[in-house]
Amino acid sequence: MDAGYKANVLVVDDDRDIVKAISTLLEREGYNIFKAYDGMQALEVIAEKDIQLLLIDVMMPNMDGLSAIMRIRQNKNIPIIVLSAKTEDTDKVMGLSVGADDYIAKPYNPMELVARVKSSLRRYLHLGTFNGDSSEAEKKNVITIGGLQLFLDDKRLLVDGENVKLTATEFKILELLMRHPGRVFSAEDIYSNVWNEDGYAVENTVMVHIRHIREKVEINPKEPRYVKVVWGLGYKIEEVIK
Amino acid sequence: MKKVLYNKFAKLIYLLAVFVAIAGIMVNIFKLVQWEKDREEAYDKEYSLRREHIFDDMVYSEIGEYIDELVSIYEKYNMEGIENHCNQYFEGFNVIMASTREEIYKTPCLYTGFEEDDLSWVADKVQYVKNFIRWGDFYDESEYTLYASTELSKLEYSYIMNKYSYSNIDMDKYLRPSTIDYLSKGILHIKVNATWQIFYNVESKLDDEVRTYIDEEYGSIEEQFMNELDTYIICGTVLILATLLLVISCGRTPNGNKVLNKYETFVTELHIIMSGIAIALGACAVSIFWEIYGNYADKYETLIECAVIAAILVCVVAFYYEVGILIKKRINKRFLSDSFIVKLFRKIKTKIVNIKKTIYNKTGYEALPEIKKLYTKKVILDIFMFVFVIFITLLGCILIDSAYLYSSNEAWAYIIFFIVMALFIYTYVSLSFKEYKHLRTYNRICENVDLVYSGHYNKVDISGDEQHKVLNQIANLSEGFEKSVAKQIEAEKMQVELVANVSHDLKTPLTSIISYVDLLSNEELSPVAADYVKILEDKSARLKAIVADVFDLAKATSGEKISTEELDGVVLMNQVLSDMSDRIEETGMDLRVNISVKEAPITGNGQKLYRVFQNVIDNALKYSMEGTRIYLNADYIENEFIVTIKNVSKYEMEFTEEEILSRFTRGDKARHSEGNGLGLSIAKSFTELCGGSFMVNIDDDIFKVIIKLK
Repeated sequence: MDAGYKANVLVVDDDRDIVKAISTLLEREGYNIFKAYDGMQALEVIAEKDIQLLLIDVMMPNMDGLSAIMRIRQNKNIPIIVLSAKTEDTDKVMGLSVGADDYIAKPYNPMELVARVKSSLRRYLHLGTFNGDSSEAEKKNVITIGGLQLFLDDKRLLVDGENVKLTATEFKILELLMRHPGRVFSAEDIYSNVWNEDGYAVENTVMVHIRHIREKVEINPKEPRYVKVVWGLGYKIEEVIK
Repeated sequence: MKKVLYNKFAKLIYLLAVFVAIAGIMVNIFKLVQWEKDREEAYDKEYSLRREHIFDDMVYSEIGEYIDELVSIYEKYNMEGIENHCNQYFEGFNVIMASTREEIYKTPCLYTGFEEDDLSWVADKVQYVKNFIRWGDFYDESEYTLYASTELSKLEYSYIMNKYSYSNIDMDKYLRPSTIDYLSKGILHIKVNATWQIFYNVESKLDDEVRTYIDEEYGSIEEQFMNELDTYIICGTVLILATLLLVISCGRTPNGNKVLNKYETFVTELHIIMSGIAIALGACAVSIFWEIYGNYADKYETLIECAVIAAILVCVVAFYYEVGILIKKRINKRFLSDSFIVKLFRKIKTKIVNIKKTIYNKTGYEALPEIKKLYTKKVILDIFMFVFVIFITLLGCILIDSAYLYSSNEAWAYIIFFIVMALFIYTYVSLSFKEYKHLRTYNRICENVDLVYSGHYNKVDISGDEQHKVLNQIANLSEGFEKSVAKQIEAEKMQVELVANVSHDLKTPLTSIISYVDLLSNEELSPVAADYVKILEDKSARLKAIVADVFDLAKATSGEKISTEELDGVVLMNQVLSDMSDRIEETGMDLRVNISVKEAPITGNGQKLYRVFQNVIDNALKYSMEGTRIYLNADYIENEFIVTIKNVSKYEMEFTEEEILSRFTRGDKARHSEGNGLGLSIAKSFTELCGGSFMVNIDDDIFKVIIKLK
């Protein structure tokens, strides 16, 4: 990403203080901020300006966030991050299914917010440059899930376009999980696949590696987007986020 | 052993043995019959010889004895005695007694009591009668008329015994000298007519004599049989043994049981009937050939004997074959299942069950066994009553019939009887109907109470019985329940909504606080201000955590259902421990884990159960005394995953088990440490949401949590 480029970010929330706080936070990171206070305004701004990322609340007067997202998604491909106090799983699923890329629960952690904005923007812009070269990606034997790109030939992982260093074991585990997105692997499965020997009482070993992978891959390892623990069963990579 | 027993040739030998034994018995029987025939012939010969020579003599001596008796009685008792004794002792004679000869001729000789049959019997004996005629013609006109009237004149067998004038047989030979003396005095005159009875008596006497003679000469048939007994015993034993062997080996081969062929799979009864027919045909053959044997035995004796044996053997083969099939069926366990009668009974049984079901369905006696019992009792009583009424009716008819025989009141008796019966039946039937109705209502009440009990208020149905008080009350009751349940659900929904709204309303300002505190912390501040901001940062983070916990807890206790899935408790436990390993290390506590099973299938929500164990372990880490150990034991007993966590409390526990589980209670009353006191409450609620149980046990300083999951 060229340093001189200032991405346009639209922040939408009916609480003006929150909009102001987020604006300050993001301006400091060097983004160009536009503000809106309900869904209608957001649509107007998006129609007029060249917006690269949208941060939007759900519960707003005039037009709620979900309706606005649906409208925007009719002709825009920009990353959209939902910012909401509704933290139920069903709310998250709803937000993601109408077309949001990410879902941040209020009260958010400012650092995490910044990180997620960065990640989404990077991916958007990065993938934009790579768009024409999808054939090259295929040639290079790549597994892509969301912002994760696993290059099998040169043992490389890109997270939102940024190189992340993995150990050999971590790479193998991630490869196993990414080859079968959505499938739940028990610790024994992972162990026998990666270490090539039968494992017993390997929960701890596997968990440690999983945690390391998470720390490298996830923005907030406590609320992972990709590498998930299925409690009582095993581990998996979330199928497709977008 | 089996190989020899069940061998084909062995079976053939058994059958041959049966043949030989039967033939042996038959030959012996033929011999016996032949012997008997010879004996009969000898008897006939002897009999006719004796009759030729001594029959007349016997008759005369009979008559002589009779006259002796008469005279001696007359001497003792006069006529009175005669009348008394004649009837007793002298059947077979017709006696006329008088003081003068003339009187004798005047008195007609009455043959009363003669029947047609006697006449024909006498007719057979014409030759004997002819013998009598030879003794003289001493009857007059009156006797002629008499005989004419009884139609015996033609036979002319009557004989008047009178020594003095009529007999050309020397009767004195047959009379006692005293009798002759008395009669010669002329005081008493006797006329005796010998009736058929006397011939009969003499004949049977003669027969007895000849039989005794023949028996003495030839021996009895029993003796003859006993002479050949050993042959019968040998043949019989062979027959029984061979039959037994056939029964044992039938349907079996050295390699297993024989499968039935098409004819053999036919209904069992056919084979029973066929074996019966075989026996009947055998019996027929015997009796038919017996008849022929009697008539043609002289000419074709051997031929007939062979034919009889052949026929009987054929019948025996047929009988053995059919019985063999029955045994085969038994071996193949098809004896009953092939039986038409059994099949019929089974069909009838299912029919009855079906009918019963239909009745139950139609009348609604379906669901409740206790009412079914009552209903069955009632039906049995009704059937009994039906039989009873029929019995009483028949009995009444018979009684009336006999009591009013030849009486004109019979019709009235019938009418009154039937009216009484009709009244009784009417009363019983109407009461019965009422009872059935009551049973139906009772059933309905029970059903509806059941529905209310199981919570299916909307299924309560009293249509058709709206007037019934109890049913009505049940309907009202269920309606009330339904309303209150609906209200409760509504209230729960509102509570969840309220919690959602409140938490949203709390979160929005909290978001601003956190955001601005963060912004503030990035500003250039005086050290004191920076310190304050740090405190703000911590507290707002805790506030965030508390809001999240309160929301979770409120949701968990609002009664909203959660999704569950099949999990492995051991995997879950290991995951939680691995996940928390950093934190455990951080606190420096010694956590001793003992999971004694390899797997523990349970049902629950993984995310929630993760929180349960995380909270409980966290609680133990937080409140354990330094230097003590925390024990975590997990076991799987009777489909239950039981996890126990024990630790020694850092603080004196001045609270009860109930208190610690209520919201916002913390181990340290002074609330020194971090935490919001919701941990265990959340753990308990989440456990119960997953269908498990969560117990706390406090024993002085030992704090114990027991979690059971199914």
